[in-house]
Amino acid sequence: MLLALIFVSMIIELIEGIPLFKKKMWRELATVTVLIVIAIFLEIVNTLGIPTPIHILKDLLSPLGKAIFKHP
Amino acid sequence: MFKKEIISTNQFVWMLFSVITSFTVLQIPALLIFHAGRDAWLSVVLAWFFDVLLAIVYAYMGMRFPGQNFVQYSITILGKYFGRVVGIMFPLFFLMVASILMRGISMLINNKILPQTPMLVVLCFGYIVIAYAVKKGIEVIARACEILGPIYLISLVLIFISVIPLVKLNRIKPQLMEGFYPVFSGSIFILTFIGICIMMSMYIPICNRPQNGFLAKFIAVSLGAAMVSILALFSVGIFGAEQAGNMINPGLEITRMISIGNSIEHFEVVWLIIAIGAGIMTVSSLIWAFSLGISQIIGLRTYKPVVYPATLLALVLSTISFDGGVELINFSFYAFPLIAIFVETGLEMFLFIMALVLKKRGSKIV
Repeated sequence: MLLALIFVSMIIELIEGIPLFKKKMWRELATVTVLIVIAIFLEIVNTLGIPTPIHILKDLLSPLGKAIFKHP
Repeated sequence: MFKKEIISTNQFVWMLFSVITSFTVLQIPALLIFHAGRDAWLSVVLAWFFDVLLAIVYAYMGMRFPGQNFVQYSITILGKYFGRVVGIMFPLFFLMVASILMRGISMLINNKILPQTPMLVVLCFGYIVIAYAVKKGIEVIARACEILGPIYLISLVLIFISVIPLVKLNRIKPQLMEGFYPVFSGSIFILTFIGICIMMSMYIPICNRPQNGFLAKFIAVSLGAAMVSILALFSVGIFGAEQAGNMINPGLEITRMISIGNSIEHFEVVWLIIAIGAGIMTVSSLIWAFSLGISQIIGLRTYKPVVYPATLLALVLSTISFDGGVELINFSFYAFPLIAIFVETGLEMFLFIMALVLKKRGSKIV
Protein backbone atom coordinates (compact mmCIF):
# COMPACT_ATOMS: atom_id res chain seq x y z
CA MET A 1 0.00 0.00 0.00
CA LEU A 2 2.78 2.41 1.01
CA LEU A 3 4.79 1.76 -2.17
CA ALA A 4 1.68 2.19 -4.33
CA LEU A 5 0.89 5.42 -2.51
CA ILE A 6 4.41 6.77 -3.07
CA PHE A 7 4.16 5.83 -6.76
CA VAL A 8 0.78 7.59 -7.16
CA SER A 9 2.09 10.60 -5.20
CA MET A 10 5.05 10.91 -7.58
CA ILE A 11 2.73 10.82 -10.58
CA ILE A 12 0.49 13.53 -9.05
CA GLU A 13 3.52 15.61 -8.14
CA LEU A 14 4.76 15.39 -11.75
CA ILE A 15 1.33 16.09 -13.31
CA GLU A 16 0.62 19.08 -11.10
CA GLY A 17 4.17 20.15 -10.28
CA ILE A 18 5.67 20.63 -13.76
CA PRO A 19 3.09 23.21 -15.00
CA LEU A 20 3.26 25.03 -11.65
CA PHE A 21 7.07 25.07 -11.80
CA LYS A 22 7.01 26.46 -15.35
CA LYS A 23 4.53 29.18 -14.33
CA LYS A 24 6.61 29.91 -11.19
CA MET A 25 3.57 29.36 -8.94
CA TRP A 26 5.69 28.44 -5.93
CA ARG A 27 2.98 28.70 -3.31
CA GLU A 28 0.70 26.33 -5.26
CA LEU A 29 3.62 23.92 -5.77
CA ALA A 30 4.42 23.98 -2.05
CA THR A 31 0.76 23.31 -1.15
CA VAL A 32 0.56 20.34 -3.51
CA THR A 33 3.79 18.92 -2.08
CA VAL A 34 2.74 19.43 1.54
CA LEU A 35 -0.67 17.72 1.00
CA ILE A 36 1.03 14.75 -0.66
CA VAL A 37 3.60 14.53 2.15
CA ILE A 38 0.77 14.58 4.72
CA ALA A 39 -0.96 11.70 2.87
CA ILE A 40 2.27 9.63 2.87
CA PHE A 41 2.97 10.56 6.51
CA LEU A 42 -0.50 9.40 7.59
CA GLU A 43 0.01 6.08 5.80
CA ILE A 44 3.40 5.59 7.50
CA VAL A 45 1.89 6.50 10.87
CA ASN A 46 -0.85 3.91 10.34
CA THR A 47 1.67 1.26 9.23
CA LEU A 48 3.64 1.83 12.45
CA GLY A 49 0.45 1.40 14.49
CA ILE A 50 0.38 5.01 15.74
CA PRO A 51 -3.19 6.43 16.05
CA THR A 52 -4.33 8.61 13.15
CA PRO A 53 -6.23 11.92 13.70
CA ILE A 54 -9.64 10.23 13.32
CA HIS A 55 -8.62 7.52 15.86
CA ILE A 56 -7.59 10.25 18.31
CA LEU A 57 -10.87 12.16 17.79
CA LYS A 58 -12.82 8.94 18.30
CA ASP A 59 -10.99 8.07 21.53
CA LEU A 60 -11.41 11.60 22.87
CA LEU A 61 -15.07 12.14 22.02
CA SER A 62 -16.66 8.69 22.21
CA PRO A 63 -17.13 8.68 26.02
CA LEU A 64 -19.06 11.98 25.85
CA GLY A 65 -20.98 10.78 22.78
CA LYS A 66 -21.93 7.56 24.59
CA ALA A 67 -23.26 9.62 27.51
CA ILE A 68 -25.37 11.86 25.25
CA PHE A 69 -26.59 9.30 22.71
CA LYS A 70 -27.13 6.47 25.17
CA HIS A 71 -29.63 3.86 24.08
CA PRO A 72 -32.83 4.15 26.15
CA MET B 1 -7.39 35.30 -8.80
CA PHE B 2 -10.07 32.59 -8.89
CA LYS B 3 -11.97 32.07 -12.12
CA LYS B 4 -15.58 32.83 -11.20
CA GLU B 5 -17.76 29.73 -11.34
CA ILE B 6 -21.53 30.27 -11.36
CA ILE B 7 -24.33 27.89 -10.40
CA SER B 8 -28.07 28.47 -10.65
CA THR B 9 -30.55 28.32 -7.74
CA ASN B 10 -31.99 25.14 -9.21
CA GLN B 11 -28.56 23.48 -9.22
CA PHE B 12 -28.01 24.77 -5.65
CA VAL B 13 -31.19 22.95 -4.51
CA TRP B 14 -30.31 19.64 -6.17
CA MET B 15 -26.72 19.71 -4.91
CA LEU B 16 -27.92 20.09 -1.33
CA PHE B 17 -30.58 17.43 -1.92
CA SER B 18 -27.84 15.04 -3.12
CA VAL B 19 -25.93 15.71 0.11
CA ILE B 20 -28.92 14.66 2.24
CA THR B 21 -29.82 11.72 -0.01
CA SER B 22 -26.26 10.37 0.12
CA PHE B 23 -26.39 9.53 3.83
CA THR B 24 -30.12 8.74 3.82
CA VAL B 25 -29.44 5.71 1.67
CA LEU B 26 -26.55 4.55 3.89
CA GLN B 27 -26.48 3.32 7.51
CA ILE B 28 -27.58 6.55 9.22
CA PRO B 29 -31.39 5.96 9.35
CA ALA B 30 -30.72 2.57 10.99
CA LEU B 31 -28.61 4.25 13.68
CA LEU B 32 -31.38 6.78 14.23
CA ILE B 33 -34.02 4.05 14.59
CA PHE B 34 -31.69 2.14 16.93
CA HIS B 35 -31.53 5.25 19.12
CA ALA B 36 -35.01 6.76 18.90
CA GLY B 37 -37.04 3.63 18.06
CA ARG B 38 -40.58 4.31 16.86
CA ASP B 39 -40.05 8.06 17.35
CA ALA B 40 -37.24 8.24 14.78
CA TRP B 41 -39.42 10.08 12.27
CA LEU B 42 -40.25 12.72 14.91
CA SER B 43 -36.50 13.26 15.46
CA VAL B 44 -36.13 14.02 11.76
CA VAL B 45 -38.98 16.56 11.87
CA LEU B 46 -37.37 18.28 14.88
CA ALA B 47 -33.94 18.21 13.18
CA TRP B 48 -35.51 19.79 10.08
CA PHE B 49 -36.82 22.63 12.27
CA PHE B 50 -33.40 23.21 13.90
CA ASP B 51 -31.68 23.08 10.53
CA VAL B 52 -34.01 25.70 9.05
CA LEU B 53 -33.18 27.97 12.01
CA LEU B 54 -29.48 27.39 11.37
CA ALA B 55 -29.99 28.09 7.66
CA ILE B 56 -31.29 31.57 8.54
CA VAL B 57 -27.93 32.36 10.17
CA TYR B 58 -25.94 30.97 7.24
CA ALA B 59 -28.09 32.85 4.71
CA TYR B 60 -27.79 36.06 6.74
CA MET B 61 -24.01 35.73 6.89
CA GLY B 62 -23.95 35.05 3.15
CA MET B 63 -25.81 38.33 2.56
CA ARG B 64 -23.78 40.29 5.15
CA PHE B 65 -20.55 39.22 3.45
CA PRO B 66 -21.45 39.24 -0.26
CA GLY B 67 -19.27 37.06 -2.46
CA GLN B 68 -17.59 35.42 0.52
CA ASN B 69 -17.89 31.89 1.88
CA PHE B 70 -17.32 31.05 5.57
CA VAL B 71 -13.60 30.51 5.06
CA GLN B 72 -13.28 34.02 3.62
CA TYR B 73 -15.54 35.81 6.07
CA SER B 74 -13.88 34.16 9.07
CA ILE B 75 -10.69 35.96 7.92
CA THR B 76 -12.65 39.20 7.39
CA ILE B 77 -14.20 38.97 10.88
CA LEU B 78 -11.33 37.63 12.97
CA GLY B 79 -8.32 38.91 11.11
CA LYS B 80 -5.49 37.32 9.13
CA TYR B 81 -4.17 34.90 11.74
CA PHE B 82 -7.02 33.88 14.07
CA GLY B 83 -9.43 34.01 11.13
CA ARG B 84 -7.31 31.46 9.28
CA VAL B 85 -7.21 29.17 12.35
CA VAL B 86 -11.04 29.21 12.54
CA GLY B 87 -11.52 29.17 8.75
CA ILE B 88 -9.37 26.07 8.16
CA MET B 89 -11.68 24.00 10.38
CA PHE B 90 -14.43 24.09 7.74
CA PRO B 91 -12.33 22.56 4.92
CA LEU B 92 -10.85 20.01 7.33
CA PHE B 93 -14.38 19.04 8.40
CA PHE B 94 -15.37 18.59 4.75
CA LEU B 95 -12.34 16.37 4.18
CA MET B 96 -13.28 14.22 7.17
CA VAL B 97 -16.92 13.92 6.01
CA ALA B 98 -15.77 13.04 2.48
CA SER B 99 -13.54 10.24 3.73
CA ILE B 100 -16.22 8.85 6.08
CA LEU B 101 -18.96 9.01 3.43
CA MET B 102 -16.80 7.38 0.78
CA ARG B 103 -15.86 4.62 3.22
CA GLY B 104 -19.57 4.04 3.93
CA ILE B 105 -20.41 3.85 0.23
CA SER B 106 -17.55 1.46 -0.53
CA MET B 107 -18.64 -0.74 2.40
CA LEU B 108 -22.13 -0.89 0.90
CA ILE B 109 -20.74 -1.77 -2.54
CA ASN B 110 -18.37 -4.30 -1.00
CA ASN B 111 -21.11 -6.01 1.01
CA LYS B 112 -23.87 -6.02 -1.60
CA ILE B 113 -22.37 -5.96 -5.11
CA LEU B 114 -18.67 -6.82 -5.09
CA PRO B 115 -17.99 -9.07 -2.06
CA GLN B 116 -14.82 -10.59 -3.56
CA THR B 117 -13.25 -7.25 -4.52
CA PRO B 118 -10.90 -5.61 -1.99
CA MET B 119 -12.39 -2.42 -0.55
CA LEU B 120 -9.30 -0.47 -1.56
CA VAL B 121 -10.03 -1.15 -5.24
CA VAL B 122 -13.63 0.11 -4.82
CA LEU B 123 -12.35 3.20 -3.02
CA CYS B 124 -9.70 3.90 -5.67
CA PHE B 125 -12.17 3.74 -8.56
CA GLY B 126 -14.64 5.94 -6.66
CA TYR B 127 -11.98 8.53 -5.95
CA ILE B 128 -10.77 8.53 -9.59
CA VAL B 129 -14.31 9.53 -10.67
CA ILE B 130 -14.45 12.14 -7.88
CA ALA B 131 -11.06 13.64 -8.77
CA TYR B 132 -12.12 13.88 -12.42
CA ALA B 133 -15.40 15.60 -11.49
CA VAL B 134 -13.76 18.11 -9.13
CA LYS B 135 -11.01 18.89 -11.63
CA LYS B 136 -13.72 19.83 -14.14
CA GLY B 137 -15.11 22.34 -11.63
CA ILE B 138 -18.20 22.88 -9.51
CA GLU B 139 -20.30 23.87 -12.52
CA VAL B 140 -19.94 20.36 -13.94
CA ILE B 141 -20.84 18.77 -10.59
CA ALA B 142 -23.83 21.14 -10.35
CA ARG B 143 -25.10 20.18 -13.81
CA ALA B 144 -24.74 16.48 -12.99
CA CYS B 145 -26.69 17.02 -9.74
CA GLU B 146 -29.37 18.94 -11.62
CA ILE B 147 -29.96 15.90 -13.81
CA LEU B 148 -29.52 13.18 -11.17
CA GLY B 149 -31.24 14.90 -8.22
CA PRO B 150 -34.82 14.74 -9.64
CA ILE B 151 -34.20 11.11 -10.68
CA TYR B 152 -33.24 10.25 -7.07
CA LEU B 153 -36.31 12.05 -5.74
CA ILE B 154 -38.71 10.32 -8.15
CA SER B 155 -37.07 6.93 -7.48
CA LEU B 156 -37.37 7.36 -3.72
CA VAL B 157 -41.02 8.46 -4.00
CA LEU B 158 -41.86 5.47 -6.25
CA ILE B 159 -40.10 3.08 -3.85
CA PHE B 160 -42.04 4.51 -0.90
CA ILE B 161 -45.36 4.30 -2.78
CA SER B 162 -44.62 0.66 -3.68
CA VAL B 163 -44.11 -0.39 -0.05
CA ILE B 164 -47.15 1.40 1.43
CA PRO B 165 -49.21 -1.89 1.50
CA LEU B 166 -46.49 -3.50 3.67
CA VAL B 167 -46.60 -0.82 6.39
CA LYS B 168 -48.40 -1.94 9.59
CA LEU B 169 -49.63 1.08 11.54
CA ASN B 170 -49.71 -0.77 14.88
CA ARG B 171 -45.90 -1.18 14.66
CA ILE B 172 -45.51 2.62 14.68
CA LYS B 173 -47.69 3.07 17.79
CA PRO B 174 -47.40 4.15 20.61
CA GLN B 175 -45.35 7.31 20.09
CA LEU B 176 -43.13 8.93 22.76
CA MET B 177 -43.30 5.84 24.96
CA GLU B 178 -39.71 6.41 26.21
CA GLY B 179 -40.34 10.11 26.81
CA PHE B 180 -39.00 13.07 24.85
CA TYR B 181 -35.23 12.57 25.41
CA PRO B 182 -34.68 9.92 22.66
CA VAL B 183 -36.54 12.16 20.18
CA PHE B 184 -34.48 15.20 21.16
CA SER B 185 -31.07 13.49 21.21
CA GLY B 186 -32.02 11.64 18.01
CA SER B 187 -32.83 14.99 16.40
CA ILE B 188 -29.37 16.30 17.38
CA PHE B 189 -27.82 13.14 15.91
CA ILE B 190 -29.63 13.41 12.56
CA LEU B 191 -29.18 17.20 12.51
CA THR B 192 -25.42 16.71 12.39
CA PHE B 193 -25.84 14.76 9.14
CA ILE B 194 -28.47 17.06 7.60
CA GLY B 195 -26.18 19.87 8.78
CA ILE B 196 -23.55 18.89 6.21
CA CYS B 197 -25.71 21.24 4.14
CA ILE B 198 -23.60 24.04 5.64
CA MET B 199 -22.08 23.52 2.21
CA MET B 200 -24.68 26.18 1.31
CA SER B 201 -22.20 28.73 2.57
CA MET B 202 -19.75 27.61 -0.12
CA TYR B 203 -22.50 27.75 -2.76
CA ILE B 204 -24.04 31.16 -1.90
CA PRO B 205 -21.09 33.22 -3.26
CA ILE B 206 -21.13 31.30 -6.56
CA CYS B 207 -24.94 31.27 -6.94
CA ASN B 208 -26.28 33.58 -9.64
CA ARG B 209 -28.90 34.80 -7.11
CA PRO B 210 -27.24 34.79 -3.66
CA GLN B 211 -30.44 36.15 -2.08
CA ASN B 212 -32.06 32.78 -2.89
CA GLY B 213 -29.64 30.95 -0.58
CA PHE B 214 -32.17 30.43 2.20
CA LEU B 215 -34.94 29.43 -0.19
CA ALA B 216 -32.68 26.87 -1.89
CA LYS B 217 -31.62 25.40 1.42
CA PHE B 218 -35.21 25.36 2.70
CA ILE B 219 -36.46 23.45 -0.35
CA ALA B 220 -33.55 21.00 -0.32
CA VAL B 221 -33.69 20.31 3.40
CA SER B 222 -37.49 19.99 3.38
CA LEU B 223 -37.36 17.46 0.53
CA GLY B 224 -34.42 15.61 2.09
CA ALA B 225 -35.89 15.56 5.60
CA ALA B 226 -39.22 14.33 4.21
CA MET B 227 -37.39 11.41 2.55
CA VAL B 228 -35.45 10.50 5.73
CA SER B 229 -38.57 10.84 7.85
CA ILE B 230 -40.68 8.64 5.54
CA LEU B 231 -37.85 6.10 5.36
CA ALA B 232 -37.63 5.94 9.16
CA LEU B 233 -41.42 5.70 9.50
CA PHE B 234 -41.78 2.98 6.85
CA SER B 235 -38.81 0.99 8.15
CA VAL B 236 -40.41 0.87 11.60
CA GLY B 237 -43.85 0.22 10.08
CA ILE B 238 -42.60 -2.71 8.01
CA PHE B 239 -39.96 -4.37 10.21
CA GLY B 240 -40.73 -3.00 13.70
CA ALA B 241 -38.40 -0.66 15.61
CA GLU B 242 -36.15 -3.35 17.08
CA GLN B 243 -35.49 -5.22 13.84
CA ALA B 244 -35.10 -2.03 11.73
CA GLY B 245 -32.67 -0.57 14.28
CA ASN B 246 -30.44 -3.64 14.07
CA MET B 247 -30.32 -3.64 10.27
CA ILE B 248 -27.31 -2.18 8.49
CA ASN B 249 -29.40 -0.52 5.80
CA PRO B 250 -33.21 -0.67 6.32
CA GLY B 251 -33.87 1.21 3.07
CA LEU B 252 -32.12 -1.49 1.07
CA GLU B 253 -34.12 -4.20 2.88
CA ILE B 254 -37.36 -2.32 2.09
CA THR B 255 -36.55 -2.23 -1.64
CA ARG B 256 -35.90 -5.99 -1.57
CA MET B 257 -39.49 -6.55 -0.50
CA ILE B 258 -40.99 -4.82 -3.55
CA SER B 259 -42.52 -7.25 -5.97
CA ILE B 260 -44.82 -6.11 -8.75
CA GLY B 261 -46.96 -8.98 -10.04
CA ASN B 262 -44.30 -11.48 -8.86
CA SER B 263 -42.33 -10.67 -12.00
CA ILE B 264 -40.70 -7.25 -11.45
CA GLU B 265 -38.36 -7.54 -8.46
CA HIS B 266 -34.84 -6.68 -7.23
CA PHE B 267 -35.48 -2.97 -6.78
CA GLU B 268 -32.42 -2.84 -4.51
CA VAL B 269 -30.49 -2.05 -7.69
CA VAL B 270 -32.34 1.29 -7.86
CA TRP B 271 -31.41 1.93 -4.22
CA LEU B 272 -27.73 1.15 -4.88
CA ILE B 273 -27.71 3.43 -7.95
CA ILE B 274 -29.06 6.26 -5.79
CA ALA B 275 -26.52 5.50 -3.04
CA ILE B 276 -23.52 5.43 -5.35
CA GLY B 277 -24.61 8.35 -7.54
CA ALA B 278 -25.60 10.72 -4.75
CA GLY B 279 -22.56 9.66 -2.71
CA ILE B 280 -20.11 10.35 -5.53
CA MET B 281 -21.74 13.74 -6.20
CA THR B 282 -21.61 14.66 -2.52
CA VAL B 283 -18.00 13.58 -2.01
CA SER B 284 -17.10 15.55 -5.16
CA SER B 285 -18.73 18.66 -3.67
CA LEU B 286 -16.93 18.08 -0.37
CA ILE B 287 -13.52 17.63 -2.02
CA TRP B 288 -14.21 20.78 -4.08
CA ALA B 289 -15.06 22.67 -0.88
CA PHE B 290 -11.90 21.39 0.82
CA SER B 291 -9.69 22.32 -2.16
CA LEU B 292 -11.27 25.77 -2.49
CA GLY B 293 -11.15 26.44 1.26
CA ILE B 294 -7.51 25.42 1.62
CA SER B 295 -6.59 27.52 -1.43
CA GLN B 296 -8.31 30.56 0.07
CA ILE B 297 -6.65 30.05 3.46
CA ILE B 298 -3.20 29.84 1.88
CA GLY B 299 -3.98 32.50 -0.72
CA LEU B 300 -3.50 30.49 -3.91
CA ARG B 301 -4.45 31.81 -7.34
CA THR B 302 -6.49 28.69 -8.20
CA TYR B 303 -7.74 25.60 -6.36
CA LYS B 304 -7.32 23.24 -9.33
CA PRO B 305 -3.76 22.02 -8.52
CA VAL B 306 -4.91 21.04 -5.01
CA VAL B 307 -7.64 18.68 -6.27
CA TYR B 308 -5.55 15.53 -6.88
CA PRO B 309 -3.53 15.79 -3.63
CA ALA B 310 -6.78 16.47 -1.72
CA THR B 311 -8.40 13.40 -3.25
CA LEU B 312 -5.33 11.33 -2.39
CA LEU B 313 -5.49 12.56 1.20
CA ALA B 314 -9.20 11.65 1.42
CA LEU B 315 -8.41 8.19 0.00
CA VAL B 316 -5.72 7.62 2.63
CA LEU B 317 -8.05 8.80 5.42
CA SER B 318 -10.86 6.53 4.14
CA THR B 319 -8.48 3.58 4.16
CA ILE B 320 -6.59 3.99 7.42
CA SER B 321 -9.16 5.54 9.73
CA PHE B 322 -11.46 2.57 10.24
CA ASP B 323 -10.54 -1.09 10.64
CA GLY B 324 -14.05 -2.30 9.91
CA GLY B 325 -17.73 -1.54 9.65
CA VAL B 326 -18.34 -1.59 13.42
CA GLU B 327 -15.64 1.03 13.99
CA LEU B 328 -17.13 3.26 11.27
CA ILE B 329 -20.62 2.95 12.79
CA ASN B 330 -19.29 3.66 16.30
CA PHE B 331 -17.49 6.76 15.04
CA SER B 332 -20.57 7.95 13.12
CA PHE B 333 -22.79 7.42 16.16
CA TYR B 334 -20.70 8.66 19.08
CA ALA B 335 -17.86 10.91 17.87
CA PHE B 336 -18.99 12.44 14.57
CA PRO B 337 -22.09 14.24 15.95
CA LEU B 338 -19.97 16.12 18.50
CA ILE B 339 -17.43 17.24 15.88
CA ALA B 340 -20.24 18.21 13.52
CA ILE B 341 -22.13 20.21 16.17
CA PHE B 342 -18.92 22.09 16.97
CA VAL B 343 -18.26 23.01 13.33
CA GLU B 344 -21.78 23.36 11.91
CA THR B 345 -23.35 25.21 14.83
CA GLY B 346 -20.64 26.34 17.26
CA LEU B 347 -18.17 27.88 14.82
CA GLU B 348 -20.84 29.54 12.68
CA MET B 349 -22.65 31.02 15.70
CA PHE B 350 -19.29 32.24 17.00
CA LEU B 351 -18.59 33.95 13.66
CA PHE B 352 -22.13 35.38 13.60
CA ILE B 353 -21.79 36.84 17.12
CA MET B 354 -18.30 38.17 16.43
CA ALA B 355 -19.51 39.83 13.21
CA LEU B 356 -22.27 41.59 15.18
CA VAL B 357 -20.01 42.53 18.11
CA LEU B 358 -17.12 43.77 15.95
CA LYS B 359 -19.58 45.35 13.47
CA LYS B 360 -17.84 43.63 10.55
CA ARG B 361 -19.48 43.66 7.16
CA GLY B 362 -18.38 42.60 3.69
CA SER B 363 -17.98 45.12 0.90
CA LYS B 364 -20.83 45.25 -1.61
CA ILE B 365 -20.23 43.63 -4.99
CA VAL B 366 -20.85 46.11 -7.83
